[in-house]
Amino acid sequence: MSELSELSNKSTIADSRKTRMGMLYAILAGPALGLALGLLGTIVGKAPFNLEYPTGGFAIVVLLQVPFGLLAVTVFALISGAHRDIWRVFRSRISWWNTFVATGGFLGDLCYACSVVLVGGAIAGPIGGLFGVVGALIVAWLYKEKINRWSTWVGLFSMGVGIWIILSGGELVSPTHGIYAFVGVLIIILATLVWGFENFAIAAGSDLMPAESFLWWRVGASYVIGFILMWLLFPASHEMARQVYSDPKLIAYGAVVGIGWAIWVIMGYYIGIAYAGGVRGGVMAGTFGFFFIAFFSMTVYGVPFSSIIIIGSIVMFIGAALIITEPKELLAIRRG
Amino acid sequence: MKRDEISLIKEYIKTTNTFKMRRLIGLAVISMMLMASLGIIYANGWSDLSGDSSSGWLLVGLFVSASAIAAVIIDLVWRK
Repeated sequence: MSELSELSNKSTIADSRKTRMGMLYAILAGPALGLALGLLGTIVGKAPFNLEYPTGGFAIVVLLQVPFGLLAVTVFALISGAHRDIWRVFRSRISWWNTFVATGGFLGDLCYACSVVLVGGAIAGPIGGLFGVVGALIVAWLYKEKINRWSTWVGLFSMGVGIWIILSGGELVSPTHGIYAFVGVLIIILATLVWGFENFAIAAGSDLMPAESFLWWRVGASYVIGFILMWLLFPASHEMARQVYSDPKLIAYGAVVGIGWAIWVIMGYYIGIAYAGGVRGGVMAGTFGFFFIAFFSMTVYGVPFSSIIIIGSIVMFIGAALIITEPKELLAIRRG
Repeated sequence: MKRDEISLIKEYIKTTNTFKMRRLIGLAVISMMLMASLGIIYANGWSDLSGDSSSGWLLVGLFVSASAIAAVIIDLVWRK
């Protein structure tokens, strides 16, 4: 008997630790997303992706990011043993819905690439990171998780201020201005909505199965659907595909973008949310990952440096931290 | 009955640790794939299209791989 109560005590501690660990996964995965999408952001406006404008954003996701991401996720599934679940997923009724919603996350990837053409990674990154907050609100609403505290409201306000600072500083580094930049910001806001919903899908799905198990479908289905749409709807992509796959340099870039993105998706996004829940995991994965996109764009990938964007991102991050902080006892009860 | 539950929980913990080990190896292999691509770019001086600092790319790649592996190791050690 006493051994049993000791075990249940251990399990309470383990629950709160799991939540903290999930947040740590999401934080440590951040640089991987910065490496991948920062590079994507700087090459999407260059040849051959500048042949025809919206097509370039679509093509870079379908031709480079997703296929290399799929390769890395497949390797990971084979080694980690998650490949056994890939077919098994369909035995559960909710998994169809879940796979469908998670595949919708691909629309977010597309929006990001298109938005980057218009406003650049330094602005699209930090705003895209808001998907975590959108996802947190959806999860809180559907799961009845209470986040209505003073710190949440101060956090949301702080994030708003952060975005305002980023936008005012970002005008300096944005490739386009005026109405084009405005449309770019609208597109990235659409991305945050779609990703936010995916965020909820991961939280809901990982209650029933390991996150790694349906991740393969998220990436695999994205590839098939994206490739068919691109090939049929955008004839300019045929020429882009030919040029991309005949240039070893672009293929090497694709490997960096796709594999880096896969590391973030596995650790920060899927495992992070599975461990820490849609609210905390999602907010951490979003704000941290996307902060690094802006940071690496300006430090490694040659986008002009703007300290205003860094300051805005830090203000935004403080806001995110306020939304998710609470004592570990509460964490254990709410997550348990 | 209770004995069965306890042994089940113990088995569960053991299996989870095995899967974490496999996750560690999986992430390490993907990180190596990433470093290999960055190495190829560095060796050929291909980073001119964006930023022109190959060593910066390599450093960031190392940082990314180290964080990925560190996360799973922390998970293994801290949440036994």
